[in-house]
Amino acid sequence: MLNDDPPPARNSSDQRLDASSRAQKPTTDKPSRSFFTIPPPVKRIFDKFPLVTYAENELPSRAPKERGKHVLHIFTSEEDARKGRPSFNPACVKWQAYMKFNGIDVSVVPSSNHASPSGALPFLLPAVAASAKDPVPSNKLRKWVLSQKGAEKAQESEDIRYEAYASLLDTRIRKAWLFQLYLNPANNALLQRLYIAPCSSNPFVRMTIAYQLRQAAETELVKSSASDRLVEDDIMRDAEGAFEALATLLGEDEWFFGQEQPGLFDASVFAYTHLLLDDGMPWQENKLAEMARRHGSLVRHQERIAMLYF
Amino acid sequence: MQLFVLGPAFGLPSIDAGCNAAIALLQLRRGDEAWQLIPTANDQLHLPLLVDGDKQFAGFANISRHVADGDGDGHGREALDQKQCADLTAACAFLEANAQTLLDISLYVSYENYSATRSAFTQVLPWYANYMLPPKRRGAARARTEHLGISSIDVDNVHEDMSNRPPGYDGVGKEQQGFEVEAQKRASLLLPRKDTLRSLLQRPERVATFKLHALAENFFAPLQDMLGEKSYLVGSEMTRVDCLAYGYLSLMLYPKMPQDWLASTMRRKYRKLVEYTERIHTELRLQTRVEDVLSMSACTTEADVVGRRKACDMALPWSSPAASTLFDVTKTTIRELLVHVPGLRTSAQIVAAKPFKPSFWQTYFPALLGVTVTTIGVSLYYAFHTGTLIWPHGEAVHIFGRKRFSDYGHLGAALAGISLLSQQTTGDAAFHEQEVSVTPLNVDITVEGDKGP
Repeated sequence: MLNDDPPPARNSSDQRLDASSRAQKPTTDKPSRSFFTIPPPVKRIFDKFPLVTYAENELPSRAPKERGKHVLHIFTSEEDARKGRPSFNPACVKWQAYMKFNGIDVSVVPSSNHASPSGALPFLLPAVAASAKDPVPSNKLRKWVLSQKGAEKAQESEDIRYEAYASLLDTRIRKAWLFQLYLNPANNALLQRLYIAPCSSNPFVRMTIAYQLRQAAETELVKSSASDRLVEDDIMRDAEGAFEALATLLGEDEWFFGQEQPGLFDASVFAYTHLLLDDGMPWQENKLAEMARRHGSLVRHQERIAMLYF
Repeated sequence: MQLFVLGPAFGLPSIDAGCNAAIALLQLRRGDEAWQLIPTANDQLHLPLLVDGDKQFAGFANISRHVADGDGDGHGREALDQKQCADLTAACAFLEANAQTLLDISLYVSYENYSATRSAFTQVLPWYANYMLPPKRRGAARARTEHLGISSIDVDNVHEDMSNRPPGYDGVGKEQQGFEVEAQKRASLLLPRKDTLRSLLQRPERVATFKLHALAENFFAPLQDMLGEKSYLVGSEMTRVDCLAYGYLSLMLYPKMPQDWLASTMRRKYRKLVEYTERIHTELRLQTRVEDVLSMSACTTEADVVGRRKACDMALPWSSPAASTLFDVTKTTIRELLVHVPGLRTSAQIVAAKPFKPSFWQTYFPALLGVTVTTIGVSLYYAFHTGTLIWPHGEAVHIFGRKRFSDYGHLGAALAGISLLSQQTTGDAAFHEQEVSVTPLNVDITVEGDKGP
């Protein structure tokens, strides 16, 4: 908002210039003075204004500096954002990785759900120079990435099994992730550190947020499993089968579906495997990582992306 | 081996997709062996439920795992290589993720279709369960499809906006003036309100239709691609994923619904899937007549059951329905009632692999907080009530400039008596209330009168 307003100083000097040129005209060209011209004594007084012109105000220090760049809002810490490291939320990592695969340069900003227009992170604020200025919510990010001019278009696989394997990630592995992070009391400390501590330092507020997060995860799991009984063994066994299927699908290829370049599917797999296998996350109980480690190809896939792009 | 399922409907062995899938699987794998199919209305059992000896398996995934284990090697009689196993897992996940949404909308969310579903339930459920199970399933279905925003096909929503009602909808009972009607007719002849393509497409029911068709396409198209020219989804023989697909597809295809967008889309554009479903339906002989199954409840002995199965020419080993005791009925009813009490919503039951013992504070904090607050509240009330504590009322308020009777000394006291008397004589309650505002006037008059003598 601030930089859109024209600075007051320039404005008034322009006016003064106009006034003086207008004032000169009648004296030289037309000696007969019209009723509307300003009488010279009055004009002389007003010509003295403004007496002082102050310098322009600086922008507030927290105003965004690099508006020439696209800004991706994700769950992360200040330090990780500066280093460009992956977020701790799978959905955010997925899009972060996908942007990097497509060679789109974005700067990363730590944010919260309340900042997002759709209520969910990640979302992207396009650069000022870009044609579309509206924030891009996460469900439209793919379309946005493909519409970017400089992007190296990563071809998505046309494989008929694509949808089926994608639903493995979206249901089975996601459910196991939700259970492991939110509903497993052993990982309470991690949940506190990632999602609750940055919100507030008040113990009562923290307790409420923890309760709400757990309830939300529970509702999500109950909804997707269509039963109000959540059995950890079943969820984990489903996830184990999913990892096995993904490892078989990848085989000895470099990227999924035998692509030349990593695509959205690789990003989605990386989002989970990286957060499970990376040492940056202090898991107390991490059954999913044990399952993923059994499949060397998945581990190599994760290491390859982490090395090449992060 | 006993399989507990929800009762039959629409000519299918069960009204629930998971139950249908489990029945198809057992029919495929254990068709010749001894197993019993027991219709039940108790949904606390997490149907479909397979009871084998002393072990119980709830849900299609567990049942299929158990059945495969019983067949010897890990994948049962399914001779599949590793790649096909992976495909099978992925296809199962795809079905579970997408098909349930479509079934929810088709059978439960849309009100017209729900009335058809409910009458199917009425046939197989005992009377009390009719008030609990179908609404509960509908509630769950609506919760699952809420994010899609397709409430506009749902006509029983009272709070729906009225802007899209047909003309004259709100004019019921309103007398229209003859002249106005005539004028309107002429005006509409002069300026006809033409429906443009855009305005036609933007009507809510059309928007919902587009959404529904997109959802259906997103499910059917990949599935048909996976099926390709093969007879079955994975490999050359029928596997558990085909049973699961049958569970969902049969409930999309066979029920006759008032709004049959799902079945009609399937019949029109996905012939292969229709053939595939019908093929499994006939191969496994899953056609079920609801009346036959209901008549099994009259059977008491084992020989009776077998005889009736023969008489009705049943392919599935139906048995007499699970008897529910009065205790069960009461328990279910009370639980159902409690769920609807606001503030008493029970959270999901979580069965963790490692039993977790929460710390003292975590377990008892809400109870302790409640007890503390209640104790403080009750004791404060008691203390004020008995007068042990006195509510702080401070000094009496004095407003400067306002004349009171006591300001006039003895005279004032006398006057107060007089004015009190006069109030009593008028006996006006309203006057009594307005004492404060009236008093100064009273004082003025009487003071002057008193000065004379």
